[in-house]
Amino acid sequence: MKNTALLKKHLLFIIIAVSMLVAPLFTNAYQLRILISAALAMIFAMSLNLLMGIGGTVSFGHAAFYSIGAYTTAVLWYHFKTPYSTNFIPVILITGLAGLLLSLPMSRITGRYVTIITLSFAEIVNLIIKNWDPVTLGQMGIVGIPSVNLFGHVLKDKREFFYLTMLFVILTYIIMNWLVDSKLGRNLRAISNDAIAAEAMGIKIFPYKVIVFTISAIFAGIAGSLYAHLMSYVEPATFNANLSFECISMVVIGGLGNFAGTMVGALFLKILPEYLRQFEFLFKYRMIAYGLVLVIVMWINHSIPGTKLKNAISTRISALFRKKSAEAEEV
Amino acid sequence: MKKLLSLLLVVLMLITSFGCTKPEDKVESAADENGDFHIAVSLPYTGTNASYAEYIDMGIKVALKKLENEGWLNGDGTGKIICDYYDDKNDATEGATIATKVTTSTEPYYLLEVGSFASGVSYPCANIYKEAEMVQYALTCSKSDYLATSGDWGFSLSMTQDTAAARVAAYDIKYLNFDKIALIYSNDSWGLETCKFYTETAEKLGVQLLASEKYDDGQQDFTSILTKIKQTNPQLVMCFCAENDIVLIRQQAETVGLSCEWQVSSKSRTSNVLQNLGDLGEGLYGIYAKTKDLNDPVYIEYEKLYKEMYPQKFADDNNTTQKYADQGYNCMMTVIWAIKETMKTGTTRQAFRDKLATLTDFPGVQGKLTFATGRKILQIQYLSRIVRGEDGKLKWVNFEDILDTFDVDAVAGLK
Amino acid sequence: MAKFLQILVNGISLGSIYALTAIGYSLIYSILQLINMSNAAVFLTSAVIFYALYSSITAGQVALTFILTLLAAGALGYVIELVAIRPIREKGDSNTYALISSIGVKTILEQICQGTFGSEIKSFPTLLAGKYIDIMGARTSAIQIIIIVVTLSILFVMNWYTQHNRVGRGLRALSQNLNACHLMGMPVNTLIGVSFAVGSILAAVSGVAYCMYLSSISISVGAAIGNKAFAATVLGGIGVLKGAVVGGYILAVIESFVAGYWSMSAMNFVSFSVIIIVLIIKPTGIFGKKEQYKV
Repeated sequence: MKNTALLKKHLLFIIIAVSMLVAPLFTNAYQLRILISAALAMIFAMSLNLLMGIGGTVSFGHAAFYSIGAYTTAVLWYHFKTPYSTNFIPVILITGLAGLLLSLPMSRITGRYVTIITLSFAEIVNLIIKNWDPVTLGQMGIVGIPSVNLFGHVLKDKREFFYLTMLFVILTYIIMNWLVDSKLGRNLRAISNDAIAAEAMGIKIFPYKVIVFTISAIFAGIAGSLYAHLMSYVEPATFNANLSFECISMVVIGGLGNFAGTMVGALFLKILPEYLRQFEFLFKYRMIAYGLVLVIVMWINHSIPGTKLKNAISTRISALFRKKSAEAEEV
Repeated sequence: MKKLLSLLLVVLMLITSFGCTKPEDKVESAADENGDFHIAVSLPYTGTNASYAEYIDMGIKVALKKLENEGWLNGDGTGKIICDYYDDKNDATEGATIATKVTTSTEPYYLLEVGSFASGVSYPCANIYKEAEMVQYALTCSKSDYLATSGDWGFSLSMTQDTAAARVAAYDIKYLNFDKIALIYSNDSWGLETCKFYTETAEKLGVQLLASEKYDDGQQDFTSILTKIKQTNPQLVMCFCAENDIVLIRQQAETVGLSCEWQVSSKSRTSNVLQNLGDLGEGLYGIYAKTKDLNDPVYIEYEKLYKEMYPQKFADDNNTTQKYADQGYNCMMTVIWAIKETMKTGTTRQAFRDKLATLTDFPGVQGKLTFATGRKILQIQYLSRIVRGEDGKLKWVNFEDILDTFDVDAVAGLK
Repeated sequence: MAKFLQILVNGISLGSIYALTAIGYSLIYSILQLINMSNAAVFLTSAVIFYALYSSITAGQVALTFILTLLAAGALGYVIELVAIRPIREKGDSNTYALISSIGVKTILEQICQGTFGSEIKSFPTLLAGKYIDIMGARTSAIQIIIIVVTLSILFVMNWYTQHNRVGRGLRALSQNLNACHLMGMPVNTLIGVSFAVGSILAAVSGVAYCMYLSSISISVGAAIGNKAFAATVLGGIGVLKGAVVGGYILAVIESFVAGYWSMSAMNFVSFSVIIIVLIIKPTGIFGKKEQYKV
């Protein structure tokens, strides 16, 4: 019976993963391109969900890790002509290190102030990329990054690239879920539900924050490194605050702490703008429709797939938002 | 249930995001069954560069109107050119998605793509067009290695910066005889390149720049760097900036009391700048790529149509056509020319490219257009200045006979 | 010395703009713990409304246009709360959802502004154009002085208002305990709506003032200010009125000096580094109080 429970828990993920995996048989290059963007966004957004949904940190600067990942592989290729498989380890090390670095102030800073730290961190990373001309070429961008090269095999076909990305999506999902179900995850949830109670129980908070930030950064970095090879071009302007906000939206639409939901959120937000393209009357107002959809989705039902997880970030704050009826009952 | 419904919604959206099966390998002609040609236009219709997109779009539509008046390609109302317009928001990812769509679409089958305004968009897309062997007519891309990056398939109507910026330096130093020059440029690929080539040429001509200050996109308060520049007492401040920024910079220079001569590059030698600067604009130098010859029949015809189609814009711009609209028009006219030339033998993407690359002395609205070796566009550039006309109104005046006495290419070391 | 003073004057006038916008963020944050992303868009929208009114209906009358703009901005703020925030709040969802909703509002407002206004820069009416005062070699324009004076008076009025007025006291009570206020029978929804209106009006004042200072308007005016004002709020201490103000001035003055003596590219780098360093040293911002944890 354990198996059926497991299947039920991951049903949404299995449906998405299977349909994504067979999709390239039916799609054209354009649709495949959207699916690739969505798959990259899935990895990126799931990594943020670990931070937000399980770690309880609203990050406004997740794009920083994405850009570090993209630039690590791009810079290594540019200066040393190393293939992707060689760059992969440095990508993990450097983004992990960046995550570690960002987690250090978190020993003192909590709650709402974390948001501004992540925002500032992202701005600083972006400014370094913009102005460190000898290494990153600054605003000139790095041109002509080749397709992913895995131990001598070049993924020329976009389908191959898609399957590589999907491999990472599945890996991310499995690792994230494993993390959440492990002792580490239980402690994390205890911390984000009630930090003080957790501390009283003898759980040391800070080491967990370090771990969450590092892992989250690594996966965002992997997504970024794939992005660089997909686009064959990186420039600092791509990794602006809007990228972070888009990522937050994906996580929130899918439901905090719900990784399969995040995948749907990513699919939804990547397909929506392209879908809106076909309505001619929306031509210049496509993004208005996009904004409206965001508001309405939040309004009707905050998470599309519906699993109302206990909101990790704000059990404390949500008291302020509590329903009137609930309040009446309390009285 | 809700999960399944939401998934269904997403799948439905994906299916209806239209597009068909894989493209056929061999195409006899790019025309569809009605004999019409399809062109994809991808421009930043929204975002901070939307004003440029709008003007280019206008120029393209004027050219299409002209063709329509002539009875389209065959002269009998058949052989239309149909443009599909895409908004890339000046965003690399969106641009690349559009490029993938455009290159693989069969219904309609696109002959070429026009647009990709900034290099941040034209570069990631160049790769996609190169692989698909389809022309990317990035008419405004002026980055010096664009043509090399795009393989054989990239075209641009803008001169590359190694030529353009070097000429500006030559004019400033040897013609206007300034030797105390400060530089302000935007921190983007265009600004960095222009700054590099300008500084190099200036040094070659024996002038060391007093200051060179860059600023990031979205910056609006320039008072601090202007105060800093003021300390160096320049005779001339050269600005490689977008037109919106030069207005702010010039106004704020007044606030901090920096008085000297000012110059902008060809990007900002626009009627917009003239209008918004008001009296402050008087004396501002600019660079102009080939004057409009008002008696040129090509120009007269263009202006007439432009005035008919966009009377308000025409009046707003002091009864002139806008420069970027001219470029859009030129671009589409050369496209029409290349299609007509290849129609007898079958206009495929390859044939179209080969023909376009041979463009020589094509009568455009900014003078003759030629793609030299390596598709490099050759244009003459004049010095230009805002002066007060006899009617008391400010206007841009081009130094049209400057080249008779001053060989700018020789001075700039381009020959 | 003249350079130093000049840069200081420029920094202070920019700081006034930051401070005004920052109060709007701070006000809403202190009540709902919500980072209201739509504030930067209201900044832009009000400037566009001012421009549209000034160049059509109320041609030439700065004062009348200004009042109408403030009314419109106040209404806009109230409507944003009513449509985009309240439904989420009343359903009992976390404010992260309200945050996304406010990002949606921001996108919508920015796109509407761009669609109607276009992306070209246009000249904006200013006050006392071309009038300067020399303060020991530092050239100060009349509009800079007006902005500083207006900002400081608004701050004093706001301060007095929250201390002594009924509505002000209500807002302060809300920021301490929303739930208790509700149980006390206070019109919580109206008060929150009013706080959004006040925040929007402040954004409108700073938006119009900023465009007057630049004497031009383009659709990118709000973008840079939004993040800076938010950062200033946190730097000074969230929810503390004087914190937002001091944070705004500190940030702007630092930026001016870095840009003036070093380079503009280093400007944002330094200002964001300062924020991180300040928060590491004092995790609640300069004036912020330590949060009370309830077990």
